[in-house]
Amino acid sequence: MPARPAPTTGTRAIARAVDAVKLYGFGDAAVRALDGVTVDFESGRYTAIMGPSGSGKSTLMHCVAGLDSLTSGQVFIGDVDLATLDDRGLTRLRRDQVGFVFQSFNLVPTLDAGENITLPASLAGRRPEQAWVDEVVATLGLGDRLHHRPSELSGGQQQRVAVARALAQRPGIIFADEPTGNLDSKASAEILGFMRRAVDDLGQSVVMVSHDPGAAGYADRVLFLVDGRIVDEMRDPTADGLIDNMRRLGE
Amino acid sequence: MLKTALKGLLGHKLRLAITAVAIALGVGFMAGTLVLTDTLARTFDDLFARVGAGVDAEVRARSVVEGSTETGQQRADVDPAIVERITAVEGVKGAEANVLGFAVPVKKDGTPIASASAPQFGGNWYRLDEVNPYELVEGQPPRGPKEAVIDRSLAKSGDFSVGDPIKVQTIGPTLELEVVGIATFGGSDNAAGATFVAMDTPNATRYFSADGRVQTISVVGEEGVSQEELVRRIGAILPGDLEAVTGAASIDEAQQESREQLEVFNAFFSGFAAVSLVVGAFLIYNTFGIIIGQRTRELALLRSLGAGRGQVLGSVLLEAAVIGLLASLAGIVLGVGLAVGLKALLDLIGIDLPDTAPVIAPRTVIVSIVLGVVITTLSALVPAVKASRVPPLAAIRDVAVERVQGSAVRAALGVVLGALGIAGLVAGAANDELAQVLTGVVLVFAAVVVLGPRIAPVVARGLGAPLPRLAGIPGLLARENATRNPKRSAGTASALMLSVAVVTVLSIFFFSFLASINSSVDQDLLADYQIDTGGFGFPTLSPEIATRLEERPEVAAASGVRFGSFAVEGDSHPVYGVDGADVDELFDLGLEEGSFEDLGADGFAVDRVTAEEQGWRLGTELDVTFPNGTTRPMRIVAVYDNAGIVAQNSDGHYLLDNSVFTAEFPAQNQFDARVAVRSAEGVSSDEARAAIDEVAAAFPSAEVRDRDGIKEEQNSQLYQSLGILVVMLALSVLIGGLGITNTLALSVFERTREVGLLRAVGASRRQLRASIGYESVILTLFGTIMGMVIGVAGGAALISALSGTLIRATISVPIPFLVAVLLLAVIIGVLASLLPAWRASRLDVLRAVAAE
Ligand SMILES: Nc1ncnc2c1ncn2[C@@H]1O[C@H](COP(=O)(O)OP(=O)(O)O)[C@@H](O)[C@H]1O
Ligand SMILES: [Mg+2]
Repeated sequence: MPARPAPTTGTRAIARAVDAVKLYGFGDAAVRALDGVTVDFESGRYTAIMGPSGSGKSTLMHCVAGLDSLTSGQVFIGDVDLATLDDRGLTRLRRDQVGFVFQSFNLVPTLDAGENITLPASLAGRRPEQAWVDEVVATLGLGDRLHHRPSELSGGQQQRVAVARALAQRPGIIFADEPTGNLDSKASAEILGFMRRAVDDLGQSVVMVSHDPGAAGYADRVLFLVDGRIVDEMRDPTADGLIDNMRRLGE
Repeated sequence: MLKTALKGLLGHKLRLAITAVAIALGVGFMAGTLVLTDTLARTFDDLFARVGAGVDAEVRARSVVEGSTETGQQRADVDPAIVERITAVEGVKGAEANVLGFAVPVKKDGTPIASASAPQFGGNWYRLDEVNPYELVEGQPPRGPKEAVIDRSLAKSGDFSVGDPIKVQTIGPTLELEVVGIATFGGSDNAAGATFVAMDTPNATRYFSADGRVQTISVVGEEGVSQEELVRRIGAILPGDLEAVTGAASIDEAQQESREQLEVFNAFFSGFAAVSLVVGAFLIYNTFGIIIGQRTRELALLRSLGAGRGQVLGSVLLEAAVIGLLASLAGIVLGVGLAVGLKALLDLIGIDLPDTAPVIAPRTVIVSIVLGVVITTLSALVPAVKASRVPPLAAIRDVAVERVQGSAVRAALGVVLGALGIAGLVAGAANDELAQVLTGVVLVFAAVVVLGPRIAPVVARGLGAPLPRLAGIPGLLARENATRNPKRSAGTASALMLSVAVVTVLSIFFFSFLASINSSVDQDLLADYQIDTGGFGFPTLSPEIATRLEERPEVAAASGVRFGSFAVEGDSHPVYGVDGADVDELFDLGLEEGSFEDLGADGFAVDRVTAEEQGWRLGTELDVTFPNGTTRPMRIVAVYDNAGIVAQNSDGHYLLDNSVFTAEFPAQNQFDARVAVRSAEGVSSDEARAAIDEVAAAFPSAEVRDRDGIKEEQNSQLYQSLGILVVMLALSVLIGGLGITNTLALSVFERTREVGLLRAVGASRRQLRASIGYESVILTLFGTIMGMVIGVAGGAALISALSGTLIRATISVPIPFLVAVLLLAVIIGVLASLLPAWRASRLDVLRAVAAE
C-alpha cells in the first residue's frame, strides 16, 4: 500500500449532501432509499461508502453525482446546488466536473479504448489535454491497449480504461460504484491502487461505493450506511477494523 | 405453449407494435392494389351489365379486325335499314339501332367540355325503355334536328337546364341544339365519366355517324322467347355480313374487352403490389430477426427452466403467426383506405372513374391473410431456429458488436448471382431481349441482398467517413453503429434499395422516352403548328379542319392524323391515316423508296424494319382487310425509315391515305386525332397563326399549338403519368423509411445501457439525437445508393434493349431527378430517426447503471 501523506486539501468539501431524502414509489409501497443524509465529501480525499445490500449506497452516489434527483434535501458539487441545473446543466456537470466508474458496462462498445478515454472531452468538442491523458494512460499501463475495442479487453483492463476516462477530464471528483465487484482479487487490487494514486499523486477526489472491506481499506475515510442513514464513520480504516464494524452493523 | 407465446407477445408492446406495423404496411399495399383493381373491374362490369340489361339480342357486323390497346377492336358498321325487317320477325317486341359517335358539348362561354380520359358520346335516344340505360329525370325525349337530351353531370358542369341552347361539335358541323331533357345513367349522373348527348335516332344517325350507318342493333324479345331462340329466328333473316348474338353474350364480350383494357392498369398496380410486398417482406424479416435476437436471454431462460428446443421454436412461430394474422387484418383495412386514396389520386390527375364502393373480394382477404401469415412465419423461422439453439446458459451476456457474418458459400453464391445478373444485363441490352434484362436486374438485386452483410459495412463506413470530422463524436458513433451489425444494416437497407431501384429504372425509362419524343419533334416534325384536343383525349377533331386549312393561302400543307386497325394478310395491326399529298412536307418520315403521294385509294406505306421482317418490297401487293369487312389487294407504295413522329412513339408501322379511312372505316375512325399544319413560304408566323386560329375557332375542342407548345403538351401529359408513378413509389420508399425507423427503434432499445452510459459521461440529448439521425441517414443513403446503382444499370440495359422499337433516343439518366431522390432519401433518413432519437434522448440516465 502506498504511503499516505497528510491531507492538505481535505478541509474544503468538493461535494455535499444536506438532509438528502430519496423515496421510490408512492404511499404505503414507498421505499425510503435515503432517509435524511447529510455528508461532506472532502476535496483530495478517498471516501468509501459501505453498507449492507439495499442500504442506499448507490442511490446516494447517483444523487450526489447528478445522475438522479432527490425527493427532498440538497446536493452541492462545489458551490452549485444541483437542483438549480436543468438537463443541459447537469449534462455539462457530468461531462466536465465529475468522473464515473461503474461496476460493469463502463465503455462504449463501438469505440476503442483511447476513444473511450477521451470521450467526455470529445463530447465537449474539446481536444483532450494530451500530456495529462498520456500520463494517466501511462499510470494505468494502458499504452499498448489504446486501439483495442472493449470486447478485446479483459474485465480488469476494461475497468482500468474506465478509471482512465474518469481521470482524463481532471474532473475534480470521481464516483465509483463497486468498481471491482466483477473482478478477481489481483485486478481489484490494481484498480484500487490506481484510484489511491489518483488521489495521492494526481490530486483527485474519489467517492467509492463498496461492500468489500478489503476495497474500502484503501480509503481515507469510510461512511457506513444502513437503511438510508449514515450510522457510522471511520477515518484511516484498516480492513480488520472494517470487518468488525460491518459485523456489528449487520447485527 | 400458447400461453407462453401470448405472454411473450404482450410483454413487449413496443416491439409488437413495430412488427405489426411492418406487416400491416406490407399486406396493406398489396390488399390496396387488389381492392383497387377489383373495384375498377367491377365498375366497368356493372356498367356494361346495365347498358345491356334489357337487350335480348344484338345484331352486328360479322367482320371484325382485332385492334391494339390504343385502337380497340374494330367492327364494321350496320345499315339501319335492317331494323324494320328485324322488328317484323316473330317474337321480336322491338328493335332499335345503336348510334354511338362522338360529340363534344360546348359550354356557354365557348370552351368545350373535354374529358381527358372518358369518351364523349353522341348517340340516339332509345324509344324502347328496355334497351335504354338512361332515365329521363327532367324534360322529354328529343325529337327532330334541334333537340337533345344530355346527361346530368353535363348539365351540372355546363350549367345547362331544360330549354337552354347547347352547342355540340360533331364530326361534321357544330350543331346548335336545345336541351329538352336531362337524364341519369342507372342513378348516377353519367356513365363512367363519359359525356352523353342524345338526339332522336334519324338525326343522331345523320350527325353523329359519318356515313348514315349505325354500330349495332339492339333487339328486345317478346315474353317467353328465350335469347337463344330469338337469336336463331333473327339469324335466319340476316344477310351474310351480319350476325346476331344473345344479350348475355354481348355483355360478356364487352366485359371481357374492358377487362383486357384494364390489364395494363392492373399490370402496373400488380407490379407495384409485388414491389411493396417484397419490400414489406424484407421489413418483416428484418424486424423479426432483431426482435428474436433481443429475446435471446428470455428464450434461454425458458430453456433453462426446462423448455425443449421444439417448444421454444413452436412458441416463436406461434407468436409470429398470431401477429401475422392480426396485422394482416389491419393491413386489409389499411388497403381499403389506400385503394380509396389511390382512386382519389387518379381523379385528381384527371382520370375520372365512377364511384363504386370498394370491392373486397374473398380472394383479396384470403391472399392478404395467407401472405401476411406465411411471410411473417417464414421471416420468423430463421431467427426462431437460431433462438431454439440458444444454450440455456448463454443468457447473461452484454450486447456485443457482431462479427461480419456470412460463410464462403454465401459469398460465392452472391458472386455467382452477381456475375449471372451482369451477364444478363449486358446480353439483354445487346440482343434487345427484354426478358434477359429483367432477369439480370432481379439477379443483380439478389446478389446485392446476398452480399449485403459484406457490402454494407464497407459502403456505410465510406459514407460515414467524413462524419467524425464534421460532426465529432455523434458522427463517429453513428458511423460505428451503422456498421456494427452488418446483417441488420444490410437487411434494413434492402427494402429501401428495392424501392429506389424500381424508381430509378422507371425514371430512366420515363426520361429516355421524354427525350425521345422531344427529339422526334425537333428532328422529324416539319410542320410549324399542330391542332389537337389536349390531354389523352379520344380523336374528336372534324376532318373539316384539315380541309378548311388547306384552302387558306397562308397554309402550305395540312394533314389530319387518324388511327385505327386493319389486317394485312390476316394479321391485325394499328394503322395511321395521313394526307398522302402533304405528309412529306409535314413529317420527316425518312422515305427510302417510293412516294407517299402514291398512297391514294389502293396503296399503303410501311416502315423498313417491318418490310424487311416480312420480306416485302416496294410494289408488293398484299390482301388488306378493313373494319367494314372489305378485303382487297393493296400495294406498298412507300417504304420509310421512322414512323415515330406520326404514331407518336407508339407501335405504328403502317400508313394509309385518309381517303381510305373515310371509305373503309367506321364513324369513330373518321375523326382526326391531330392536324399538322405548315405555313406557306413568305407568310409571317403571326399571319399564319391568325389564319389557323381563325379556322380552329369554329371547332371548340381544337387547340392550336406551335412547336414549343407541342412539346410542352406532350411533356405535360407525360409528367402527369410520372406524377402517379412518383406518388406510388414514394409510398414504397416510405415503407423502406419505416423499416429504418423500426430498426433504429429496436437498436435504441437494445442499446439502452450504452445510451445511458453516454448520457452519464456527458453526452447531451442533442448529441444523442444527432448521432441516431446520422446513423439513419447513413443507412438510408446506403440503401438509396445501392438501389440507384442497380437501377441505373438496369435502366440503361432496358433502354438499349428497347431502342429501335419504342424509344429512339439514347439513354438519358435523369441526374437532377436522381439527385432529388437522394435528397429525399436524406430527408426520409432524418424523419425516420426522429422517433427513435427522441426515445433515446429521453431514456433515463440511470438505466445504464441500473439496467438488469
Ligand atoms: N429504481 C428504483 N425503484 C424502486 N426502488 C429502488 C430503485 N432503486 C433502488 N431502489 C430501492 O432503494 C433501496 C436502495 O437501493 P440501492 O441504493 O441500490 O442500494 P445499495 O446500492 O446499497 O445496494 C433498495 O431498497 C432498493 O430496492
Ligand atoms: Mg448498489
